[in-house]
Amino acid sequence: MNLEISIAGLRLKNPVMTASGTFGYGLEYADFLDLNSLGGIVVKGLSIKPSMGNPPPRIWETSCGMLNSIGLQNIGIAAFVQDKLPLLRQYDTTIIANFFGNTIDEFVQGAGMLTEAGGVDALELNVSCPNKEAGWSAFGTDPVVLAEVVGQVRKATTLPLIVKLSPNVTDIVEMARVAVDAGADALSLINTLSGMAIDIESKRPRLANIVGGLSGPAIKPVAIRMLWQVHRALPSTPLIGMGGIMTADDAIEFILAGARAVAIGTANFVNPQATLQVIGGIEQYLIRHQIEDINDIVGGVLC
Amino acid sequence: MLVLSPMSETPWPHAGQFYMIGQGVGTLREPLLKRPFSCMDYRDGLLYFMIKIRGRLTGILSNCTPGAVLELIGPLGSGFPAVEPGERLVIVAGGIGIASVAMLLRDYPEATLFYGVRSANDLFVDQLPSVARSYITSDDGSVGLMGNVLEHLRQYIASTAGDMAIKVYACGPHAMTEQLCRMFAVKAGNSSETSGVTVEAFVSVEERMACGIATCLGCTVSTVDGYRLVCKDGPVFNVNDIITAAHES
Ligand SMILES: Cc1cc2nc3c(=O)[nH]c(=O)nc-3n(C[C@H](O)[C@H](O)[C@H](O)COP(=O)(O)OP(=O)(O)OC[C@H]3O[C@@H](n4cnc5c(N)ncnc54)[C@H](O)[C@@H]3O)c2cc1C
Ligand SMILES: Cc1cc2nc3c(=O)[nH]c(=O)nc-3n(C[C@H](O)[C@H](O)[C@H](O)COP(=O)(O)O)c2cc1C
Ligand code: FES
Repeated sequence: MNLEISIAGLRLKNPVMTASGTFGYGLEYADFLDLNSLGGIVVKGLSIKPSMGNPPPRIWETSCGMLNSIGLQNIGIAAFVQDKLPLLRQYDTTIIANFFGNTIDEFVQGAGMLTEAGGVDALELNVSCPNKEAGWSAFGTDPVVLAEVVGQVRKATTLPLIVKLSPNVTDIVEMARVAVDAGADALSLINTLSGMAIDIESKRPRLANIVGGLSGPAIKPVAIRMLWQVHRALPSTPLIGMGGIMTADDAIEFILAGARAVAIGTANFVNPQATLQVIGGIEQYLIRHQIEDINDIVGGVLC
Repeated sequence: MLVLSPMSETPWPHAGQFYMIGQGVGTLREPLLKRPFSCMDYRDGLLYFMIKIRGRLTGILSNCTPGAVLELIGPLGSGFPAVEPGERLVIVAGGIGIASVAMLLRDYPEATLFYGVRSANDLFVDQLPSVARSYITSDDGSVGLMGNVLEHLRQYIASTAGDMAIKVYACGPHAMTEQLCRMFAVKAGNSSETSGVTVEAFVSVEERMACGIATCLGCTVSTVDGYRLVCKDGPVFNVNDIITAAHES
């Protein structure tokens, strides 16, 4: 049975990765599972300088999901490269650096720093965090700005470039096309959906940032629909599917909709070994359906 | 009270450390996320928790029947620092905050306890180890001394002869944490001078948590060194380090 997949020239031993921001810098989970068994690790969103993030409270659990307004707190690319990357590299898995900037210049500089560092296997460009100030969201929601940032970053790196799309748009297919035309090798979708919750006793928002990003099982149907639409429009573009995957069944659903790989996010908080259980469950599914190669079912939904 | 028997080998906790507790494997999880709870004691291979029913998960826990299987991560966090010889320990608890300091009572039987509750109904004493001296206060006077626990603490410290340095280890609601910071934090140095007595105070703070293991970055508290994580850098902090205590959640 073959679980190996390839995305933009990267070979992943299996299609299961971690979603950025839900797995720290990877090392935090070494006590809970063998990191070597993962298809890939996508680290917390990095920026050229360390970033504080938003004021607390930053999380609130909703029905079948959670809102977060972390605001891309991170240690900065230099500290990541110096302190975390060498330790991560000891594991036999694909390391993908999720990164962002506050200006196109910062995106370009960040891509350059991560490329020169050596040891990062691919870049995931985050243009889709819903917790940044209003102007920032243009990177992920305005097709003209998206084309500009992806195009500039493409020129700044030789690494495979994955663009992580925002679901907070009217036409996901248009955004996907723009990203691919500007040089994206692969697409990740979806990031969190913009959301809000209110404490009716105090009449205050549950999050200090007022709005946050919704993740978890609540967003899965939206994610599957978007992934399927993008796969139908761009069948040859490798897609990494995420949004509410808790079990192997969820992961298979994404793969049938057209995902070549999947990423596990919020489920890591619920169960630190969620990724392993998804990998095991995918194997069981292939056995049960007598499928030799995981690649044979990518986009296999009958409709 | 929740008593758990670990199903695998686990290190024992220190006073002030906590566990993330959630529903067991295989169940349809609602709520999804685990919640943090301080361990108040361990003995005979069992972990003891004291839990106040507040919302979704605590409601479910209160309906657990013997034999139920829960999922636990821990012990987590830094816990209270050890008390040095020659230091006098004063333990301060407000409401369910008693759970976070309970293990100190066992470790330091010579300590003094200040324990404030709203009224007699909120008092948990059955399972508490007894210490040398304890002062119980209630807002309505239905049990112990009437009034704010910190007022009584202030009087006690003011009346204590200044021969020994005092460590104050506390856990309580938001308002109490804030007041403790005002009472004991000093701008420079590590101790405050209250009527000639050197007092160093530590509080266990609360923040909402998703992971408990420093990956979600959800549990931040604002300190003099910037944002720190309650799950990893805390939950116990020196009052001098805290800028704004956690909000009322
Ligand atoms: C380090 C630490 C140790 C704790 N130890 C204990 C303990 O020993 N005993 C005990 O009874 N409680 C303890 N708590 C508080 C406990 O975690 C919350 O009461 C619990 O999370 C509420 O869960 P719920 O699902 O019932 O509430 P929800 O339905 O999620 O919410 C109900 C209310 O509880 C508040 N709440 C939710 N999560 C937290 C949280 N993590 N911290 C504080 N308030 C929260 C919400 O803002 C809301 O107002 C501790 C908290 C921390 C951070
Ligand atoms: C606490 C938290 C932090 C996140 N941080 C990032 C981030 O830094 N960069 C990013 O691209 N996505 C981030 N995300 C989005 C996830 O990577 C993922 O796209 C989303 O949560 C949907 O997947 P899920 O439902 O499995 O969690 C974060 C999500 C959560 C819950
Ligand atoms: S609870 Fe996730 S970082 Fe502290």
